Amino acid sequence: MNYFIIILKQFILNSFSILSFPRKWESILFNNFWIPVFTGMTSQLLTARKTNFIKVLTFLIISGTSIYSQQIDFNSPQNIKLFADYLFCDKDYLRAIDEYEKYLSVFDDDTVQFKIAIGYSAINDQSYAYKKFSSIKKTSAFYEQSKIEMLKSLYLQNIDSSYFLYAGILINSQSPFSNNAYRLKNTSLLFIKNDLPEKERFLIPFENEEKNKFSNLYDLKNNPPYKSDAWAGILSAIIPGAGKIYTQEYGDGITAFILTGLFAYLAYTNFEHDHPTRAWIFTAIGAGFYAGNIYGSVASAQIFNARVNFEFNEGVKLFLEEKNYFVPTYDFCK
Amino acid sequence: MSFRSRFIGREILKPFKISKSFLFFERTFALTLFLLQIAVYSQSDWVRWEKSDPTYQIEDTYIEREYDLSIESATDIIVKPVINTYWFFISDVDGANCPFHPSCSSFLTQSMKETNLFQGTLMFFDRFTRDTNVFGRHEHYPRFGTNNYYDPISLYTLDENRIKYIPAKTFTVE
Amino acid sequence: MTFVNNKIFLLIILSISNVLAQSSLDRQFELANQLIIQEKYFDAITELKRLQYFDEENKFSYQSNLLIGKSYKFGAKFDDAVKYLKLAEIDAKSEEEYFAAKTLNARTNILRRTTKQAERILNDLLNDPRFRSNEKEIKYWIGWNYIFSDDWEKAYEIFNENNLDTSLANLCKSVNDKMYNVNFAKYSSYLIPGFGQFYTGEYISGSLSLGWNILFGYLTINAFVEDRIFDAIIIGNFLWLRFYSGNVQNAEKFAVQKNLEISNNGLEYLQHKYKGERP
Repeated sequence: MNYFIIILKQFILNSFSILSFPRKWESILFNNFWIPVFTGMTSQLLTARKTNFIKVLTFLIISGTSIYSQQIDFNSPQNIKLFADYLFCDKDYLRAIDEYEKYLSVFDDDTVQFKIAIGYSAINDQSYAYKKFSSIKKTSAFYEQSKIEMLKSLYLQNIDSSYFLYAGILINSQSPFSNNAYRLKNTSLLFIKNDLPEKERFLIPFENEEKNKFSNLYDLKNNPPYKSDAWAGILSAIIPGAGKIYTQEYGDGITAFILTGLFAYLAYTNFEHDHPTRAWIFTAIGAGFYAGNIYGSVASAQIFNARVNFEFNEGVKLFLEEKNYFVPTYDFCK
Repeated sequence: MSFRSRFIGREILKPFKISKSFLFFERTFALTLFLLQIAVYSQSDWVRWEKSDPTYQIEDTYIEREYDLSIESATDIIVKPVINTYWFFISDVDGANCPFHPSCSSFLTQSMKETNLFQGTLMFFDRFTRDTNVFGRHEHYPRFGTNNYYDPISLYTLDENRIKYIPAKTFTVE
Repeated sequence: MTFVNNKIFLLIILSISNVLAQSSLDRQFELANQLIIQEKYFDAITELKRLQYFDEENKFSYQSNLLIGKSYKFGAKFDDAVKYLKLAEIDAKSEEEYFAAKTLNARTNILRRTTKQAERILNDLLNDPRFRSNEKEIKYWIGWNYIFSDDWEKAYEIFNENNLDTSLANLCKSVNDKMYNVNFAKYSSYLIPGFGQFYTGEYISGSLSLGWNILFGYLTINAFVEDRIFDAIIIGNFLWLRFYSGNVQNAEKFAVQKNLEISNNGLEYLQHKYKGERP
């Protein structure tokens, strides 16, 4: 008897959920073809309630379980796509790509193709992203977007001759994103040594706000705040440690001055007090520190310059990332 | 049509699900924090992975002294025995005094190997100066292991192409 | 007439409901389970996520979260595993389910070596009156947690209590007995340079330390005796002290190092040869 009560409860709950969620109505009307028949029969059965109670109960049991065991075809293309969309918006890109591919084996859908490519780009598999973007057909609404995305993928793989070649083609094409390509290309020129065009030409694609920023970057690239390694060496030769101070290694500079000075003093006093052996040892060590510091100052200037380059490149990279590489962003997850 | 509505249905259910769990658990504050944490997606599924059974063992960071007995040039005949003797009799028993990786004596042998006796000596004196200076190390050098600063030979050979700048405080491995 | 019609109709309904007796959600859950059995954990998670997506009544929310957590655990993605096990814990519908999610969470934390967190979870369970009957299992994992916290002595005490697990108790005891006392190694070297090194079996290093300390100790004291105070300070400070502190450092380092080797041997055994249940 308990079992019947449970089933009854389920049935009541189910009818309640049908009332509260309109989508259930739809699933009853469209997915489960036999239910309209059943709903039509209810009134008849209700009238027979008193005479044939057990029959009604049996019916309720069956109807209850039938509704409860709601059937979903997980592998229908529509459901695969729904699930894939959910995964995509959950940033579970690799799984979303797998599901989208399943969907594509049944239907041809350029939005899905584009989202696959975007997914590969998001998980930073740029060579696959490039392949997928390049497979989008000319008739697609995403054709032009995929062209500029291809440039981004090439950029993120390697800034090489094929990248610049493709950028050139895109800039000279009729694409609505040719200016974006132009901006990305000119920005990436900042990574390459001594290969900048004239300032006027460099700034052509940029708009007002960006123009100032890029004008500064251009100047910084052409006149980086390097320290001269020769000058660092000369300074240290004149005053021990001065070269290191010039390259902003203040602690090392002062230490070098003290060490050289200390051993020079020790050598001097030992010569004065007639301890020639000790004096010569101290002289040798002092000379070592003196020469080592000149050498170290030159190296220090080189490291300083490497840091300038590093920070400049990192800054440009970060800026490009913020700007999404001058590529439009899409919101598929509204 | 029914598919679109299914999606809307999920949206209706979402707040319901949360409020139910809120009623069920007393530690609501901890839960909110936790749910926020869940919202931050993970990237561990961006690459396909397989079953994995990582070792139970604790990583052993102890580095055995490797005596360098190879003789490759004339300078090695003089320098190597001195360095090895120093390592065996002094360096291994006088405590951890060098804050850098590679240590001062390894720096000397390696720099002599990569350049020459004269340049190696100059590099060693420069390193010794940096070793003596105790100020500002933390802001200046990348880290190596648990308690060493990373200061490789490649920065000081005066070959600009070999300099690979690593920002200070970054954790590095060789 | 209506009676006959009804009978036929009932038959139809019955036949349909028999065909559809197992819901598609059940079948999906079964599929995910099969994938887990085949050790295809990445795909299993995909199918479980699919189940969660279409399971609007959250009928499978507990099972799916638990299995996703389990799958991540098998792939050693412990951070993700802990997240989903926590979700399973929230979705648990009975005490048994809650207990299962909690213990699995603790075991994941043990493997992740976040032993403090594991300890907190297990102590919560131990103090919960609902789980009095599961005390043995909880204590078993508390013992494992001590092993992963490198506290073999406490692990032994737990496993030995009421003969919880004699083979693990014996293992923990033997590991603990082999361990060197780090403090003894260190402080004995303060008293007699080289002693801690001898204690840990590093005789050469111990002899060298002893030799240097005797030499520089003698030179320092000799300088003091001969009234060469400056020399005494220089030798004492830059040579004797250097080798003296190096001696203490070495004694401690060797003991720690040997202990690490001993516990790693124990862990190696537990991972590959121990037949019982592991975290």
